[in-house]
Amino acid sequence: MRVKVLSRNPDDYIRETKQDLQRVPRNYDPALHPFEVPREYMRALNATKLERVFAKPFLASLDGHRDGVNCMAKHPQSLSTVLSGACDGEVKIWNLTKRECIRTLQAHEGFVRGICTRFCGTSFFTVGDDKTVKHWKMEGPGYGGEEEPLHTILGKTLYTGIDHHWKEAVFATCGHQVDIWDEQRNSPICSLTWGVDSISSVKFNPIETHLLGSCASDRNIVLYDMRQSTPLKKVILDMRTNTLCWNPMEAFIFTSANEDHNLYTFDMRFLESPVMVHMDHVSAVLDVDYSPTGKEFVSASFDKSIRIFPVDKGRSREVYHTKRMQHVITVKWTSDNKYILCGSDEMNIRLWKANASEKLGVLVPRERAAMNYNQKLKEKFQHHPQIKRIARHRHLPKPIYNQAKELRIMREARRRKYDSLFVFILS
Amino acid sequence: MIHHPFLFPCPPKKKMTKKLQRYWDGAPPPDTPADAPSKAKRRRNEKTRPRAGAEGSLQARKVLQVSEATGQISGVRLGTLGGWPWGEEGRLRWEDEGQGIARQRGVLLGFLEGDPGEDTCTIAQADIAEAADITSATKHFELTLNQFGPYRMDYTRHGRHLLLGGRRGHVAALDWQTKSLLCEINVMETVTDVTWLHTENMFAVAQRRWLYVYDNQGVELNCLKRFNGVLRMEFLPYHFLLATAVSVGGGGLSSCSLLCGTVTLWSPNVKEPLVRMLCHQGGVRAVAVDSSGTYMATSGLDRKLRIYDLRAYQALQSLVLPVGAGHLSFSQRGLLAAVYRDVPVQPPHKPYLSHTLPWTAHGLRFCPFEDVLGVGHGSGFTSLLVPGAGQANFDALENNPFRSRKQRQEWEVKALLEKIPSELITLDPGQLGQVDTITMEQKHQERVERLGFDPQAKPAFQPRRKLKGRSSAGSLLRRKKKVANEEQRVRPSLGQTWLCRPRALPRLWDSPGGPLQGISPLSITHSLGLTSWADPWSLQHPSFRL
Repeated sequence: MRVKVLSRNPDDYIRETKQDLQRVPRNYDPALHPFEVPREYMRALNATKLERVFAKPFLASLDGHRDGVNCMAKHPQSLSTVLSGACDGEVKIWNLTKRECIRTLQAHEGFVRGICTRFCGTSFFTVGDDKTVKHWKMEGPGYGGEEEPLHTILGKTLYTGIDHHWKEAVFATCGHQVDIWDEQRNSPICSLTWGVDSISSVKFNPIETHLLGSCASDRNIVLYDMRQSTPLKKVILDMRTNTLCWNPMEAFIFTSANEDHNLYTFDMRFLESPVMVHMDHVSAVLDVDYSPTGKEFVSASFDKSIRIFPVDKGRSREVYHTKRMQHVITVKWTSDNKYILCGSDEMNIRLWKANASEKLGVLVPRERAAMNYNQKLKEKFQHHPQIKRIARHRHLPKPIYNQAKELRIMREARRRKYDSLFVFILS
Repeated sequence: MIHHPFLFPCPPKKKMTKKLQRYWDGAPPPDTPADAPSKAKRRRNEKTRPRAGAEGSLQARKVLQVSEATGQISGVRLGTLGGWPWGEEGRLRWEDEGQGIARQRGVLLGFLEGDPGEDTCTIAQADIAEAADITSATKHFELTLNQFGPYRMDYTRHGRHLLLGGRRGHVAALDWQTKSLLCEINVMETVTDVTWLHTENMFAVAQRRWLYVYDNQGVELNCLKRFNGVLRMEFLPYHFLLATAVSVGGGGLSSCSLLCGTVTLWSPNVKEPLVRMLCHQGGVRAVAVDSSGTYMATSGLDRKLRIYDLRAYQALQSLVLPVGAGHLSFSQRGLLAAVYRDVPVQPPHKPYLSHTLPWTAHGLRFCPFEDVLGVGHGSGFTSLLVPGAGQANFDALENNPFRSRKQRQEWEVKALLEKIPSELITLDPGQLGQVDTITMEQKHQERVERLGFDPQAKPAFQPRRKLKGRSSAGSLLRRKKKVANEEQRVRPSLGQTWLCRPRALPRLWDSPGGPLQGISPLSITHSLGLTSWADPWSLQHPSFRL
């Protein structure tokens, strides 16, 4: 008779000293892990709930401006520097890590209409209500020195926006028409115009660097090619576009922020219909900026909130608002994909997290593994009704909530009317 | 509460010199026809069926059998149930993949092999204990507690702790491997059942009037007055629910056996039973479900032991036993233990192991992760060795017999966090992972009704207009015929080509001429008509989804 009875040596299963790790033998046989689907579902539910618990996106408010913040610019080489221009002509340079202003200069008399940095990061340009374009050094003057621009260009008409080329020493301003300037010259190398009204903003394409897009007051978006010195294409919308932003990953995609509460993503090759219409704001959308991944963008609206939209979806995934934040004029997504800056009417620039429940800082490997696991679980069960309901839930301030409800009712009524009309016509 | 002195286990039995005559060896043939008891003159046989209260009478023997019936199923039938790793090869393969101690096949797995010509069912427990190592020999012990009535027993989920409950109120909790006592109390009331809750810190005792929850020190934590006269209890570890009834539960569903021979499966969400199965003609005496919830064993008054597939609700095997087995229990590795009285009738199957107890059994459980079967009976508790019953490689994140206090605390928190709510108890536990096609179709129908047309319907195929006479009526018709009836064509989908592994296909290199020269496996499958986009020989074993 040969017999063997299962017997385990505890020394193989218990750690030797308190300094050792505990031994955790694994057996992945599914027979030992029953109810895998319901248990994973419960874990996904917990992960979704915890995501809402830890969703605290507001980080800091940069205080210092004495009038509303009108425009912002990112430093191309330094993640911790941001420039902002206010409605009283002041330009401030901020350090985001210390959350303080490191330099202030009185750039213009009147509004600072536009600010943009040069691609090398050594200087920046501003345009203002006093019809000037000023070129400044990024480094401040030494001790006791006066703030003096490197170069000032006096123009004949009002300038409303400025943007610098991504590779060459060329910048473009807009106002009455789109002017393309060389940094060394005092007059534009070419002027582009198509239409009779003023142009509110101009943006260079970061990938196809010779292309630019502009938004005019006669409700159109015009695309220009710098090599040909002619306008390329034009699309006319129902209401005026405030700004547009090019996708940093897709050369031909741009998103425009419109006055009719929507954002339109266009493919510049097929301008007759937008690729996507993003509808969630309840008031005019004033500014839009893409994330460096090119998958999402953030929009600032007159309705005192900022929303984050995925490029391929028509609805926002996130909304940030505060009681103290009034009409948001300008918004930027930082180049490390982690933070969002917004400048608003009440003289503050606010710093938010791009992922509201993300833990900042260095994560221990176990933390990171747990976060990745939770993320995957949420993705796997995202379509289950209970989980979708919790993941989607956001608190909205009363004015936005009521306005959104009203708009929904109006849309439903319109749809019902047109549906029955359509059925009547068909039958 | 009166504390009773802990009685030492019995000294090891002496080896039996006389070989017991088992009934399946056949009774010795009668010498003359007159010796055989005739039907007319059948008198009470005092030895086997004594009168109650007869002095010096031998009590009816209760025979304990451990049947290999399920073991046979596990070896033969289950392998063909497609993807279930319960077959011999599947079992060992999964154990290989477990990290830790058992790195080779069969290093820790228990087994029992008799000498040639010797049946394993004739081997006595004492022999097994002597032949096995010292640690295993200590696992075979007997607690003689004959003052407080027949004992019910329960093991914790990781198999370290044992709970005993005597009918007359004696409740004891101990670590049965180190024989250290956690607590011993007398609740001064009839105890009908005892069960551990989720850890070895709490247990529930079903007393005559109410249901009590105690700490592992014997401190009463809770008294549930709503539960009157509970007869049986079962704790559902993943739902943190205590099912009480005349029931033996398994998985999330509780099964209930009635006198009319039906076994019903219940869910806490529905008033009516979910499934009613007619298992036996006559009453059902015992029900047991295996640890994976796939097989159910029932025994009834019609002297049959039946094994059912719970997924398809079909009977798999049926054994005839001398009397209906009073208790059934499945081990982790598919062994089935049955308790019934010994009667001189020959059953068709020989069990794997067998043991005779002089007392009636009242509780029967396999210890998880150990080769041990615990029996609570009229005179205390016996622990028997059953080589090959326990799962060798445990997963420490599920049940760890060697966990420390910190590990137990962490495990408890995690288990509570992923507690499955009772609303999710259904017949098919994987239902959550499937697409709700019924609702999808309903919504689609509603949409079609509302709009008046089907927005998802593809427009009819319009062949392109070609020049130079290629757009004649005949050629248009020919082009239309090519794509006609596309929905009715059956195409092998991605998943199906994985599961239809060419195991059944004739292998061309088995031919006497040797492997075909110059033909790669990919081209062979081409010729056999399978899809050609992937090399099926290189596909991995499909991982378990959801």
